[in-house]
Amino acid sequence: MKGFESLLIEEIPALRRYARALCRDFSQADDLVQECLVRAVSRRRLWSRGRGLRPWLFTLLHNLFVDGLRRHDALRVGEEIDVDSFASGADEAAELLATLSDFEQALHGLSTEQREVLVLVGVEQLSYRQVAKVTDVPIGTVMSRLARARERLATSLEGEIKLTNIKRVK
Amino acid sequence: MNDGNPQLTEAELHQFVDGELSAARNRAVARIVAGDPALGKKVERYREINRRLGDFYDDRQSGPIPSRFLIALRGRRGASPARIAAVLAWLLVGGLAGYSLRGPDESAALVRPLPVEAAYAHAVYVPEIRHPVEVDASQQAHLNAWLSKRLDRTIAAPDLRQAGYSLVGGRLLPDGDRPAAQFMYEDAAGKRITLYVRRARHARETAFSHAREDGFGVVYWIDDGLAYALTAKADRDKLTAAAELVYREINP
Repeated sequence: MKGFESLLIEEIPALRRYARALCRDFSQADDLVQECLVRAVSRRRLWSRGRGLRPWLFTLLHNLFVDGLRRHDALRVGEEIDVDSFASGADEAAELLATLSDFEQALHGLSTEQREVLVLVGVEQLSYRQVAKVTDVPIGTVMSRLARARERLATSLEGEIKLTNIKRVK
Repeated sequence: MNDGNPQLTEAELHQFVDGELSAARNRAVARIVAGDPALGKKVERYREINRRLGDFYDDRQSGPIPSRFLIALRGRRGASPARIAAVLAWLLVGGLAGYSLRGPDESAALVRPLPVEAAYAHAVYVPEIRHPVEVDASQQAHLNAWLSKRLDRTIAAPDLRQAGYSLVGGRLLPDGDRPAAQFMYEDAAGKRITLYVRRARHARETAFSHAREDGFGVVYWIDDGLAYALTAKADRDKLTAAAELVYREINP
């Protein structure tokens, strides 16, 4: 039987994909994965081999992400906002956005909750029921987030396709 | 059940794409979609979204697995009773099989024995397609110089072509608070073998020892102040032959 660490190692690529859907950049995503691995090792007794490892790890990662957001919000209450740094950050973000395709821009424009459901269903192939468990919301909410997210992305694809057609005409 | 119902809800279209429908309803929906170009286009869009997401979140975009993940995997477990038992078990097996038992030097390494460390590093980097190594074999002189500098000992990737393995490259790894090196090789069929090298805690030399960690075979030994561990999914004889070649290359 494989050791727990080896099983975790095999899940690292999936954890990184999911974390990237939640976080703004790669390094934040990897921080989150690292925290998740530490937590998984310390809570290994709470996982039983009969249960899928991936949904369990995703649940840990989701909760760490949500806890992190709460910590962040709590910090922000007493914090003064540095307008300059905020502005330059927005400039950088705008510059980055300009290099992305319509589809990628639309993906960035979704809420974190929508992107999360899209990736868990469309990339990681989790069932709606599993996604509901990981994200701790009812199945109906999973379905409505998915539908709304796909609606917006479909519109962006439509835009891209029209654009390529115009280019071909030229 | 409305398995044959010609009416279709928007939600069902998503369920159809995601394989969430019962087999009977799935067949019915497939028929309805096939007969309605507008619905067919929608389904195709949703599938394309999944493909685009797959590309966007492709593993290769994430870059190599950071070595700090290895540290995370070890967690704060330290010397848990189960771990100590496991380590004692392999020490005992080694002893029974007639290998020279390591003395105080290996007890210092009780928490992170060489074969365990080497097998983790092997398991993490061998499956990598894009970033198996930090410095590849085309820059071998740089690789050797860099790792020698970091380990503060002259080391060089041994030539294992006699055993059918060519050098892929190498990387620096954390070994607790110290650096360690990993050289990766592969044979003509793409099967990979790694040589893990770190400074020995004590300078005493040992014979070859064997361990199995999570399905990998590991041969390890200490020679001239360096601890070596050769890891592969190979049987013991093949691994021992490769280890002997490593030893001969290092001590010509």
